[in-house]
Amino acid sequence: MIDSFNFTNVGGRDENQDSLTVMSDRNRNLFIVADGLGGHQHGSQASGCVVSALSDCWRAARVWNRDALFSSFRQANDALLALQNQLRTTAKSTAALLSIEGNRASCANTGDSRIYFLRNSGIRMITEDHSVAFKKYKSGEINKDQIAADEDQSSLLRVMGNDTRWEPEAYEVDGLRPGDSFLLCTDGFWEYISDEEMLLDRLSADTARRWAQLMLLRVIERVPANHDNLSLITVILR
Amino acid sequence: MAGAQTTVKSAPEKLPKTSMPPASFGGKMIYVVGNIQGVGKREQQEDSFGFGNALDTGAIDRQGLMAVVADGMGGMKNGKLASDTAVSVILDAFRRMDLRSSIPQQLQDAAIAAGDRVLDQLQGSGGSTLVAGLFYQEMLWTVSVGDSYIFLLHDRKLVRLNHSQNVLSRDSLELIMNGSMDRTEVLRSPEKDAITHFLGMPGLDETDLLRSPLKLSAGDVLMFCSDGVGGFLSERYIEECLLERTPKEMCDALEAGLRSRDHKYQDNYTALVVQCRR
Repeated sequence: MIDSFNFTNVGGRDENQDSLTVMSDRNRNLFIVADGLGGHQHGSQASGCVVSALSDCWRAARVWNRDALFSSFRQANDALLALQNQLRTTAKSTAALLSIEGNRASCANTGDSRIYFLRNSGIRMITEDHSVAFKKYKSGEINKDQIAADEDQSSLLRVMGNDTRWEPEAYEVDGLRPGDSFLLCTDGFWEYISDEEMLLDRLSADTARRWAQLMLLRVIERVPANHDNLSLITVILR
Repeated sequence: MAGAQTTVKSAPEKLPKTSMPPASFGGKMIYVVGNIQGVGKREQQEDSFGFGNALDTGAIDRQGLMAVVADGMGGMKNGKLASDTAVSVILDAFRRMDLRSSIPQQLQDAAIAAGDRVLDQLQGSGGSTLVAGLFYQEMLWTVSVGDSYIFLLHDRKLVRLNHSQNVLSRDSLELIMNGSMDRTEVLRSPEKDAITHFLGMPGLDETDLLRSPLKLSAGDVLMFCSDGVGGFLSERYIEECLLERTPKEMCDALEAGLRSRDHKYQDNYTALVVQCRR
């Protein structure tokens, strides 16, 4: 059994270019967050297109394995490229996808939306941001908590809607147990809260909704008036 | 007891005749504690605090260590009575705790029982906040009512562990659930800092609680304090203080910070510091 809660907010921007979805089909569960980039409402169409295409492929897949996952991302990218043509835009989107089946989870991301895994008293960021700022962190040039403020934070090295450099990185988590949790979020959220705080709030919460509320209470204290769209999905296995 | 430091160790195991070192040598977690307290610019002290087992080395292993701070309100003697009652009910519950049963449930029950006692005694003319932490088998459980603070310094970074129960928090949550992240209006409310939950209120049913424990690491520092500290020192400054080497130095730095700011309305202040070491 899975307890999940999702939240999205436009922030101080004119429109919300994040898209997200939560669905279940047969004995599989799907969670996606996507952060669109591009003016004139094209950003929200871009992320919407990606989420839609990924969900359709996920539902149609007989088996959700690496092949199905990569093929779905390819199809979603193609759909976005077609949309770009149609709208004469260069709008792009990140994507972070989590699929849970039984006691196994499959995660994938392109861009800088994130997926975290929590068990007992530990939290681990599963995905890596495809950004220049994250590369600087990996090379030791900056610390993890300096990523959000780095001037290169919005320079994405991989993103959906590119001819090349759209491919996701994929990860698996096996042996899932009751109490294990996941958090998916866009950068408008993770910029304002630390891993330790995400963990403490999970330990204080008895539901996915309460966990999200506690984290959002921290974030609301910190966001400036013109802050970015933010989105999150909390997932707790029972 | 400003800046006092007590070393709390588990008793070393007796060496067998072959003189092999005890299995736990160098491995067990020990807790070094310290505290500050002052009246600030107020007429009397309405904060109370206490430790359970702080000096009882063997008992820490069996029963854990407890740290409690309570910030009383109600003026005259009522505030002090309320916070004293809160501390003694919690410490009493701690001594009788069954560590094989749910600790969060027992901590919540203890907080509510403390609230009932305060209500009995003061009939609504006084109340108290509460923050308490139970350290046992290298894990931490906490309970909080009201707007006192529990801070954790982990990996050299300060985070707040509990969430205040006050009007600002309540209104912020309502905003969030209605789809807004803009607090401007809510911050203008003159009542924003009023607490919404306290020991001594009728019908207290909600506490802020770690429902699963936090695993402690060597180097972690916990601070339990009233808002005379948490509301008067910046988090940045508190972080610097808790980065000092020993609880005594941490407490000295906290005290020095409050004195040098010399705030016109400095509230009663109390802080307990617990440093985890191996």
